[in-house]
Amino acid sequence: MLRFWSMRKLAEITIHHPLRRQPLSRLAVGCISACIAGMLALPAEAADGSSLTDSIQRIWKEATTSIQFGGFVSQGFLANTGHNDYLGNTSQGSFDFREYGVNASYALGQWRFGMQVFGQKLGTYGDDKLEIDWATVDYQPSQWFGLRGGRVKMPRGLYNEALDLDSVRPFVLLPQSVYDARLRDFNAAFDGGMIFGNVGLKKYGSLDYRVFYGRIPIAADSGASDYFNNDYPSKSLEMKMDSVRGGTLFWNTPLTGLRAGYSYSAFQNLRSTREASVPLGPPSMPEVVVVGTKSTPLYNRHLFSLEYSTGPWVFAAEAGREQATYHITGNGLDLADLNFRSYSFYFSVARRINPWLEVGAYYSYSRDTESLIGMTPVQIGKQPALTQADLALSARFDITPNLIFKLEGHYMDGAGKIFDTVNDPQPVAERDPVWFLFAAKLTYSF
Amino acid sequence: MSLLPCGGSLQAAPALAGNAGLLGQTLDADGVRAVLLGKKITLGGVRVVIAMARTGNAQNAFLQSHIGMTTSQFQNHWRRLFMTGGGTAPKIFETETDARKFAAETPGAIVITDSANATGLAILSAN
Repeated sequence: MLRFWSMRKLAEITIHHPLRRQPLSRLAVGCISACIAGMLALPAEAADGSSLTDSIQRIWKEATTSIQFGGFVSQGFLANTGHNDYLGNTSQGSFDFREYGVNASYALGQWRFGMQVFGQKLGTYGDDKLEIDWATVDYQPSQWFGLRGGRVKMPRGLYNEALDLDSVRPFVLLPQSVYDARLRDFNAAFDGGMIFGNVGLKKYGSLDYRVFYGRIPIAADSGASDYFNNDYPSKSLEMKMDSVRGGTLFWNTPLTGLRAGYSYSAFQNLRSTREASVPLGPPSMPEVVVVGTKSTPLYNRHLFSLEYSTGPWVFAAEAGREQATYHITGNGLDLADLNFRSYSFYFSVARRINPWLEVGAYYSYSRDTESLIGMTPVQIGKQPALTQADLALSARFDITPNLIFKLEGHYMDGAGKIFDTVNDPQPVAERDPVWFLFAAKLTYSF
Repeated sequence: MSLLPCGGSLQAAPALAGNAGLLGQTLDADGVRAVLLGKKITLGGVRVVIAMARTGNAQNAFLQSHIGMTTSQFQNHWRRLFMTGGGTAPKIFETETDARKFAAETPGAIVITDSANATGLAILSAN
């Protein structure tokens, strides 16, 4: 059993979750080394015979003017009626909702190097620990073909690569049916490689494609871990996968502003080791601690996307499906097989009213089903299907070009998407079926 | 395409112009779109650097007609790319004059400007 509470404190910046002792992957180390090497690839010796100091000064000037820096810091507030705890301790109102990051990038010819350090807190997730969010080396010899390696933002749908960019949309929370904020550390990036490009179709527009392969480290105490172990309140000890693969294909139609796309991703041998207390019989009987696994050979995700931008308007819609067959064991015994199905969709609209005000709205819906295959000696699997419908209204105020403030209200219908964990038990029967969620966020970006 | 010796005799129209080193490069509508949206990153083997003014009539008109975006939307597009490791953001200047000056001095730099003001720059695509 992994005794993660006894681990010694890790370094301030970790590429994986700080509670897991994992060194930088070879790929990430290679990427960072390449960044440094690329920056040093500037002319190191003056042709006119000037001194080494002059050369260094020129290199320094070139570097400091050519390296681009960007960043953001945000602080939000979440509160909801009733006693559901959704994105943290939201039933009491929570300021544990913030993100911050700083990045640098440098481009030279067909090469580009960049890295972003990121931290967040969303309820119990993130815990304000800094991580390398992305660190990539790009080589793009032509418009239709490029290579990107390192820790790469995962392409998925319209907005997955821009989850943290408050400055490009009016919403505080993206539609949670597709972009669950608690899965950020799982969904945001992967360690691996990607090929990408844009293929012109003449009068039919163009195609953007991306194909990727890699792996995603998953912390035992992450939102992703709680998500996958939500069939039974348990303590996740370890979670991992063999690989992630997938791609996106977007058609930029001849109608300016209209694009449509499809995204696919699959996690191979996704598995969790967990510990749970299981009753031996009626409530009066003692419970026994069971250590077991939940695994699937393949977790599939499909997502269809449509976006139309015209003038001050942006319309978007996405619909997705996720599927996996889980095998569950306990203390070495086969306990159950589960069929997991999730359907989700949303449609949204945003309109820029004037330079300081943008408004938006969306309707988001998800339906998750976990059903038993055959019989099981223990009660596993939430029944019946759990749904969540979310009608959101947002207003964004541009206080300055760098400082924005957002207000958002959600009418929530359904008990889905609530985590039932050991530390915060929320059995389905005790959840509020209808509730309101309020969100506010202040973001400074540069 | 040729370098414009002076702008006085030309009819004013928004155009995509570039550093004199890009002389001979021409872009059709698809090419303009690909360059401005960051899908095509080199011209004539040189990395493209987009120079922009914070706002400007010629710039707004050109962006609207070629990629259907306002300057603000265009900057958001690039912010999404830049902040997620997908591209190198345009250089933003207070005025179009400053952006033109940067383009004139920087290999690979391009700028949207009124063609009548494109003195010393190579016109890559007119409106």
